[in-house]
Amino acid sequence: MLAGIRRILPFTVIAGPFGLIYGVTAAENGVDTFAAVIASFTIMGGAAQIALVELIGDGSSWFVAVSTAIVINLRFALYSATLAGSFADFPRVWRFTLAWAMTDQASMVAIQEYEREHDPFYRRWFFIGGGIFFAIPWWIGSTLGVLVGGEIGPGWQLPFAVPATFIALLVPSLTSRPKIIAGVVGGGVAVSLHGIPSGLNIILGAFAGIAAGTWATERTGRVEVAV
Amino acid sequence: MNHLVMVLIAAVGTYLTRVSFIAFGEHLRVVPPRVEVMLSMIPPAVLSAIAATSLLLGDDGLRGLDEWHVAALVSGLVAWKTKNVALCILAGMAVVWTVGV
Repeated sequence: MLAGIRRILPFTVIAGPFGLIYGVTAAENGVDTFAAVIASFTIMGGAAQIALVELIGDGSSWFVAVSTAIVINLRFALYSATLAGSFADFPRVWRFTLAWAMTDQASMVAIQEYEREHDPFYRRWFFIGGGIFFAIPWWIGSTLGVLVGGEIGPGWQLPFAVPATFIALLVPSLTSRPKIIAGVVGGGVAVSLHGIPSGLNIILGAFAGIAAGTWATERTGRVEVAV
Repeated sequence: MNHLVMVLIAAVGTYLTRVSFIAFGEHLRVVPPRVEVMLSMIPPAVLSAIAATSLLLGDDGLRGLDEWHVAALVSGLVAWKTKNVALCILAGMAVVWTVGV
């Protein structure tokens, strides 16, 4: 568990301020205080929560708002698939509990550690250590943000932290040609569909990007086989 | 709709995504290659759709060029060179603070 905590520490630095940004965004969009705080404990995904509260503030339909949040969190399916093999050795209760503590950071740190450490007992305590210690500053920051809300002035330019966070996660994910194609198509489709309800353009852009990237991968795969 | 209900629906959907492959436990040690490819496309496609929307779209249509776009370029460069999330965000914030004043 201590190893998990130690490895997650560099990431916890950003969890607090990011939580604060989410909380302030929720308060400024007039989201119910209790609901905004509960979201940090149940959805536990900053990007999705920010999109959700912004769409609520924009007056989008509940269906579009909720679907957008879920689509943004679809990336957890990738970690779920990557971790499934290691988690298979854990007792069922552990599997279903650890799934809740799964964040980008906790998953990435665990995936790296699991390449070296194979003991299931060590592995599950490592994950809970990283998961919880990343979540604590996130919970504190977001609760504070919701309560402080509009007290933070526009001079801080906090809204820019939203695209900045996505850029920070996006750029390192562009590791191959098909992934770059997925990104270009995803962003391009989302922007070109700006007439449709906000949120829906993100969902359609995301699916177009996934399809384009998958197509590009399979196409190059065949070319390699042919050569 | 009640905000709490919306949060809880999103939370259930998110939890089901997280638990998806893990739930199968020992029955699924190997993910089919095609599914793996599709899953690996989720981060670039989703993140880029969100980033592009927040950078390029305003309340009514396309958004004009401003300090956000300069900052986004700087953030992108820092992310590319360092792969450090905190540094990338701070660099971008520093630009909007400096240019925006």
